[in-house]
Amino acid sequence: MSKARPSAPRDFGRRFSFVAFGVPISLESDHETLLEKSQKLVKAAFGGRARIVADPNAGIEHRFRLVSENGNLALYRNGILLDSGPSERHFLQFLNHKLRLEVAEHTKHRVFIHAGVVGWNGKAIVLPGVSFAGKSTLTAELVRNGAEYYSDEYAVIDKTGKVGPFPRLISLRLAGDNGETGVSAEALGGVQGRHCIPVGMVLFTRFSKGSKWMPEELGVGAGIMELIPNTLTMRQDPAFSLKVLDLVAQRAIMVRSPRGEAGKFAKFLLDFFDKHTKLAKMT
Amino acid sequence: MNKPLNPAARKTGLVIQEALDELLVYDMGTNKAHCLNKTAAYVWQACNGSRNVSEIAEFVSSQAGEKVSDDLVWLAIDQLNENDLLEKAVEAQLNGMSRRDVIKKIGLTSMVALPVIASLVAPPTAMASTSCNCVSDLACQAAPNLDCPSTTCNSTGLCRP
Repeated sequence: MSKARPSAPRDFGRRFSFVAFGVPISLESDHETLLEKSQKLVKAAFGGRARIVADPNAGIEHRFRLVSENGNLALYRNGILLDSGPSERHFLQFLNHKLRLEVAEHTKHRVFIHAGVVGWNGKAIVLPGVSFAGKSTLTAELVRNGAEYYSDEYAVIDKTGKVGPFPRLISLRLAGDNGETGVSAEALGGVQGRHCIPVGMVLFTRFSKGSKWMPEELGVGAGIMELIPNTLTMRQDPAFSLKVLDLVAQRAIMVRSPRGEAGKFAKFLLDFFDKHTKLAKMT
Repeated sequence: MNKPLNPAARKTGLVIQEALDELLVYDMGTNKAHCLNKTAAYVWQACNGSRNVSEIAEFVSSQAGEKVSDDLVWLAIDQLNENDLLEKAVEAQLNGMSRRDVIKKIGLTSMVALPVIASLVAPPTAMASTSCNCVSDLACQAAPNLDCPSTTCNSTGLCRP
């Protein structure tokens, strides 16, 4: 639980504000360099979708404060301490995650689903799931096999049911490393998806050693129920979220299955999707 | 005033979305999502506070195109009660039988699918997006991050061993 320690009441004076996906956020700090780094981070975090705004105080409800105190960097959100520690690198990673989460939760015209997303033949394959389910690893393997990279974190779906890119470096956990390494789609021999595309398939899967592909096709209602736990906007705007999830579920094939190693599975999945798409066209 | 045995579907605090043959109902008070199959949806929609159970059975029969028994309606009402989808709870009259016994009894005679309501609680936002990033143990111990592999922050800034 976050400690309800109020941040220092003094006005730092140094701040900037930005709007991403319609969500206005302000950042302020007593540490000029840290604020400059944060501004660069914001630009990178939202892939050009963040716009710095001139009036930093105009009606902004989402306020982050970056405080340097006693050799630690502390991050506050609306006066509540989220975390603090000495590592600037970890602090900026944490800030990046919190800013993206803030946008994901409060955006009005998009539904954010925690998922990896790739594009294949003009349609999106969405891989919802919690962290440590192997989502990024499978996303990376699909990109290696020719799929376009959209996101390894959020499927951002508009009111027409189309997914747009929400990229960051693909966060891979390499063998023997307890951390994460950011890898670009290009470094994997792939490309970044640029256009909004309809969802063709939603796959609920989790890596399980030795598991075999046993696809179970889900109906519309069951598919939406599976998506809800991964839908960040659900509590904020259930009517819009349900409407968009319904659009997705009506049009896409929704499948649940365990899977084995991502390396072998990726090619197989793309073939499966192709076959299913052809079959759907014929019928 | 509604008679005690005339169930009325709850109208307030709910978001309703039709999903092909099913009905999704989101309770904004409890953040619970319910998926009603076709039969449960027919029964719920028939609960207008003026129909009694036999009349609801007749209504559902006309919608489903097959004869539906009062027992099947009671079975649906039992689940609607349980999920707080009625204005006022109506005690299901299962004649002393367990829900399982009623299902067995109906299953032998009904051509209509049994009413089913699947439910889940929509998680708090942060839980739906656990990234396990941290600066110290504080973030790892925060409630929304319980899905992370560890409650301590490792040397790479992740809540994992």
